[in-house]
Amino acid sequence: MCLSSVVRILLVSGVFLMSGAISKPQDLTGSYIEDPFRQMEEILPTPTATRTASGAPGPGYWQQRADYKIEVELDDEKQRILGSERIRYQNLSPHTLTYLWLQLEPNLFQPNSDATLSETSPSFESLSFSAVRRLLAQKTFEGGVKLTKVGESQGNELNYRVVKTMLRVDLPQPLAPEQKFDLHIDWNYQIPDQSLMGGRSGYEYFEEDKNYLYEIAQWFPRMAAYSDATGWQHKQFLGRGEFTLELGNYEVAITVPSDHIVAATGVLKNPTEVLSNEQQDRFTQAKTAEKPVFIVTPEEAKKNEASRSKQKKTWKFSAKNVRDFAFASSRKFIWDAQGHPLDDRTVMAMSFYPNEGEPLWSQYSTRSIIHTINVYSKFTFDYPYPVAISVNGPVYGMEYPMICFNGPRPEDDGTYSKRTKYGLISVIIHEVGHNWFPMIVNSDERQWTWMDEGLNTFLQYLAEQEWEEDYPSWRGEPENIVTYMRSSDQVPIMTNSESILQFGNNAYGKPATGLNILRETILGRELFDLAFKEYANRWKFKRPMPADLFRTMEDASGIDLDWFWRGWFYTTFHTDIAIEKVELYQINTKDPEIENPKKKEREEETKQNISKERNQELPKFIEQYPELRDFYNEFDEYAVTDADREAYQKFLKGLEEKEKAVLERTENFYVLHLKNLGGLVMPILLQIEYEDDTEEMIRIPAEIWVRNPKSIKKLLITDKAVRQLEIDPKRETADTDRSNNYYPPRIVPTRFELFKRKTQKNEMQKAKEAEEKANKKKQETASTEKEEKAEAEE
Amino acid sequence: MINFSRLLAFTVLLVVGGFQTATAHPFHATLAEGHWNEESKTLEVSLWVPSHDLEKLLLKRTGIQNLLDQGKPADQAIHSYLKETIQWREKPQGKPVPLKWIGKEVSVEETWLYFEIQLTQEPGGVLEYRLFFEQEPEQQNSIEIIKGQQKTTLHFHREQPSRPVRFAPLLR
Repeated sequence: MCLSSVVRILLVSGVFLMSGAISKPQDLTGSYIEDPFRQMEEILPTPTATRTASGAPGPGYWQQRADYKIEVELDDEKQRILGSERIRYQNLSPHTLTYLWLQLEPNLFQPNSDATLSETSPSFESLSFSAVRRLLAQKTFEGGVKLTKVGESQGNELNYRVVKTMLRVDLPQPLAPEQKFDLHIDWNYQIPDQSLMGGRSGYEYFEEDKNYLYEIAQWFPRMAAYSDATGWQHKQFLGRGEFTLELGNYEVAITVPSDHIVAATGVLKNPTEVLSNEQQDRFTQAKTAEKPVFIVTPEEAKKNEASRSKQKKTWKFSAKNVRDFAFASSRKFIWDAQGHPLDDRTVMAMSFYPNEGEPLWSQYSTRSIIHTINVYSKFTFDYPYPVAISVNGPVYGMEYPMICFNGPRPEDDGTYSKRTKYGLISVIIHEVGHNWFPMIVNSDERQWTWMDEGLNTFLQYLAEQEWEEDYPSWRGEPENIVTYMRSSDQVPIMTNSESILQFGNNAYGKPATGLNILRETILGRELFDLAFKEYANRWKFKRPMPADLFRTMEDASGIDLDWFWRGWFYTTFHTDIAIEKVELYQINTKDPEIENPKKKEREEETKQNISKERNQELPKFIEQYPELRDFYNEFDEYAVTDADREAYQKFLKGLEEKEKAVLERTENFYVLHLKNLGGLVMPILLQIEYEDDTEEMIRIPAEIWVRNPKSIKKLLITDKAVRQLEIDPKRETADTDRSNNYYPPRIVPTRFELFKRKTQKNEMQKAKEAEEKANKKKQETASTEKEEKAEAEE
Repeated sequence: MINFSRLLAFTVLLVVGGFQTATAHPFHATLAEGHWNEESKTLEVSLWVPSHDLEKLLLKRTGIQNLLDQGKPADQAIHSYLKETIQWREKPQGKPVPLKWIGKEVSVEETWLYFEIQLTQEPGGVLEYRLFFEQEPEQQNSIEIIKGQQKTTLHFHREQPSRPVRFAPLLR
């Protein structure tokens, strides 16, 4: 139906032209919807000398520092870690400390840990063997850190108390600002079977060759973060909220069986002691190679699987300015590497994986690291570390400084599905990407998962789209979050890590999509990229809080985004903007010669009804007796009289020339009545199609909702006639109900209907198919008869 | 007390293991929308599931690698699983109503499953919804049921596998 055909009344002073039904009336309540543009000051922490109102670190910014020297032995016989560490803790805060807190995260695996005790009962109506094995293992596994020494470096014992997954150490004297304290801790713990117990660290046992592959993380007593925003970060580790730590330098000596290959955070300091000459040569060659070079080949790794050396080797690593240290070790490792030039440095991109990862890993892992470094550096800052490592093992995806663990593998026969291939590339991009957020931009994941997972998922999406055209990204595009946004039982993004419902959508998908909407729709790519880069650079090697991101993005872009942070991050409202109705106004010329016929036409149109139409045929009494006619039978109230003409001339005389010019204008004044049904204010992206087949896109900023966030009117002035309107035609705002986005209203099929339509034939198609089948049969019969006839003639 | 005989009867079906899926954040969720079709008296359901979770499940149930990428065998296995885990009873003690398989759309990361729940009257009764509970302890499932202008979202997890289907009165 074309719009102009609906326009039957051209009005002078506002009568409905068209109206469309709103399918889902909704009562919107709550403070956000009352005033979504209210400024954030009442929510955000008061700026200080440490964190300024601009979102930048202030002149008084401080953070603690912890440097580590660790000696650790990996016991491959009993799957244990035996460690000894010396921590130099520097109090750079303006506060005097009387005790220190450390993380003891292997305590998560104690049978009486809060994580285990607070786990609710599974459904015993359907429980797998592996789930039962896990439950039983949780009860009996002797996990947890055994501390054998907690003292000063000089040897004096210190008073300490283990509080679940935390360790409190009492200081012999208060630690004043600018003072250092040296701690000495010895410990050991049993490494969990990751495949059985889950978690971010553990071993994988290969039955076939009876080897172990270790991914060791969150493994040593680590200084808890102490910051201006939270004081000691000693929220217990329950398994979800990962961690935040202090930055520092690490010197780590890892002793393993001499036939193991070790990958770790940092630079290998003693290659001549642990690598063969050939391996060292290959490593040198890899620095300038154009594709990954094997340091340990698949054949060598396979051969190594049979080795059972009783000797040990110590691999020494050095890592500067990192917030954590992780490593992996196995005699099964293949190792490939490629140097990647970045400014005047070379970053070594390296992958470690067993033969079970081939041929997928040598094809994609190291290249995915390099791609991540390129894209993330472009949007933030250059990757600052000397190595970037991806390890294949039991952990599906987890990040640590310079090293990450990634799980996807091909099938036993070496083939792999598309899902496995893209799953591998995506998880490597994601986990390597975590070097930026939160390893360097050191946000607190125990408190706010989204601050690193959301930002990283957003950059992952950008990196994936630069890998190949139409890369199958899962998260980032607004359309992909619609189902979640429409659902109830949500919590806002600004929810503590342990309390999040639907972790993936809430902490990964929704913040990533929000940033994408900011970039593509609200700020535009150029302005967004400028602001986002500013945030990354301001907080590089520092500890940002949510307010620092919100404030920096506004400060650097010059755009007030408080409404967006409020709506997208602090509420569970969604986007659902509806066209309720459209009115058309035109200028009344007041000229009776023009206006009176129009009035008459409208009057006649409104008087039309079915009875009147049918009654026309009826013979009328007055026609039998014409003498009954009088003045009123002939009177036409719309006929133009001299009095009308005089009045019009008088009216014209009273006008100035510029006012007369306005009367001559012929533009259409369309008033769009728009409803905000989802509660979230968003820009209105309006696609207009005119009767002359031209189109126009109008992008109305979200501020149109300032005066009334539930319902607004928007005026469009055009000299063309509008045929149809559509809101958000390019799916930019995650609008959850498209059926009310059109004028004239359109029936939008559900996903189910679309699928059914796509896959099932309609009756005409079925009939056509039957006809074609019958024709084919007829042709075949005719052909056979022809052949038979020909044969007979022969 | 745990009814072990009942437990073992189920675990026997789920012997195949060894697929490594531990993640840094083990989040597992499904989302669904069910539109009530008054004319056919069916609830037309579109169910979103992560492909990875579904593939893992199919491997455990059938022992066949990459079954999800196969046509009919995958359809049969999924349909059978849906019938076991999604049961709509119009009366609390009644029999589950039929669940008719329509099809699926599989992409790398996500899969959409389409099916119809054949009711005899307007949506009501009790919905039991145990998708992936045996596989993922933290599984969360949601379905939004839309009947004209009314809708209700039901949320299921391991401790709450079934819920009554009720709509709030329509405000006029």
